Amino acid sequence: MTDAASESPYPWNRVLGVVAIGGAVAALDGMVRSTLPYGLSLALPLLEVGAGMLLTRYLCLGTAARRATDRAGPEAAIDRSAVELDRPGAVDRPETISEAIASTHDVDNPVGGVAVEPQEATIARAAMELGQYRAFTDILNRQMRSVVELSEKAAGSILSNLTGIDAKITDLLTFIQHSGANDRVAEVFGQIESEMRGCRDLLDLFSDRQKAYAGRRLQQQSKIDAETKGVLDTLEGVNGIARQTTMLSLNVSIEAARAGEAGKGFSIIAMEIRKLASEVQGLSTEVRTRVEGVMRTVTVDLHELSQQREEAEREAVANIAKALNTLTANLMTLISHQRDILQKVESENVAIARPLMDIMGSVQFQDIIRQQLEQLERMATTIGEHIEAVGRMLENSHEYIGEMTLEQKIEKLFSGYVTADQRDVHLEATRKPVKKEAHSLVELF
Amino acid sequence: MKPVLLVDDSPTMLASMSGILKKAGFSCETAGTGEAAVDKVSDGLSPCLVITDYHMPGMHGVDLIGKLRRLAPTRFVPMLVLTTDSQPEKRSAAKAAGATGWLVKPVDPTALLQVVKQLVPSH
Repeated sequence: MTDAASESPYPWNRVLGVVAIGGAVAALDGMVRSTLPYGLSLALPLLEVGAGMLLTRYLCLGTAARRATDRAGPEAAIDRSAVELDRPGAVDRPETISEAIASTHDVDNPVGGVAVEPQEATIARAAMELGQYRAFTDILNRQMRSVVELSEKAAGSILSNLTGIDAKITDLLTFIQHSGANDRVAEVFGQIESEMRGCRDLLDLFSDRQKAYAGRRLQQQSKIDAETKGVLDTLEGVNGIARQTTMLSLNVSIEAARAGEAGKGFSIIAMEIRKLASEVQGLSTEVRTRVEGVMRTVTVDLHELSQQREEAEREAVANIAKALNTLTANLMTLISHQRDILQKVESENVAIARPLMDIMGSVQFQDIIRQQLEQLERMATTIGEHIEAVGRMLENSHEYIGEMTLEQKIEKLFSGYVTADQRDVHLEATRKPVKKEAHSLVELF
Repeated sequence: MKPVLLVDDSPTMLASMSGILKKAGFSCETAGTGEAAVDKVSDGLSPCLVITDYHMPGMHGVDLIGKLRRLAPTRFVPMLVLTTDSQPEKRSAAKAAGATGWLVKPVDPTALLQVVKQLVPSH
């Protein structure tokens, strides 16, 4: 069997093309892996399918391998190593190798072997496949744009909800502050304190009046005592007169007795006078008794009643004052509690504001990813255009694809990176030393 | 109270920045391109501060700063460049064009407000 691999020449431009494709895929793979895990799931299979197909077809120069691939379809080319098909002794799927061998003929050895097709057909086929690579880059670019749109939409929704939450919290805080504002509370407390001060003033006035009333009562008591004493003194005078009258009547009786018959009339008169004097003394005693009784009533009973009343009033005033003090203390406690609530609400608002603001800032990741994906899109487009041009060059050797190789074009894209991480990943993927950039995040010139 | 002018081609960035600044009590005006920002200033907008992205389609942030420095309302207004790029050459270019400061995305809201309050102390 003719060794198709040893007889098929490998032009250097084909080798360079393979190396370029491999390098481009490696660089793009590195960028996608570092940028977006979800994009990886979309991009890598497409890249690997396309790269695997191209490499397989490009290296399968043996007639037997190419015919077997054509019959088995693209999936068979992906499944097995393209290089192994052209090497003698390679073991692969028997049915595919058998079909390939059975369908070929060797010019020098008609039994088995592989025939070599003209190079032009091979090149044309490779060119066609390379031209189809652009389709994969288009799909990749569309997928990345879709990711950008979805993430932008999600970021917008997050910000919208955050703004709504913030507005609600602000409204609530404003309401609480307005209804429980320290100024407002102080104003109300001032009014209450003023009213209570008025109540205390009234109580003091009542107490003063009570004292004045007690003083007047004592004065009246003294007056009554003095008048009563005057009456008793007068009665004493009346008693004295009655006693003197009695004595006088006795003397008259004695003289009347001395006068004999002529003095009988005087005896009778003297006796009547003694009766009158006795009645006067009796009345005087009765009056004294009654006056003393009145004095007792006024002095003792009314005094006691008055004192009891004053005592009761003083006690009531004291209770009212005590109640006012308790009310004041309760109000102070309430106001203090109100202030504690306000302070708590204000401190919690500050505590909530910080995370809200941090979340608002964190959605900036979407813009960074957008810029990175846009850069990847430019890379994918550059690679696709270059590979398409390589394909055209294979078809027409006079086709000029420019001085720059794909590697040089990718290096040129390096200057378009927008983050230090992108530059580091590129350098690592191309096995160049990574220069850690020192920069500050915030700087005023 | 004069507003802060935010210029960025990313709606997410404009929403994020304006949300942060409004929460701190600033009012904001936004523009999606450098050209739109220039038009707003030419039409009478007088901002107290300009914050612009570096990379924008059409007029770049540095070009925008240069243009705004030639307009009367913004000749002496502080201008910050907010960008993902931290390359020293671009930073120097912004400074040469008249930028007042340089912020690298993603910028911490607290750091942003600190810088803004430093540049606009009268707010």
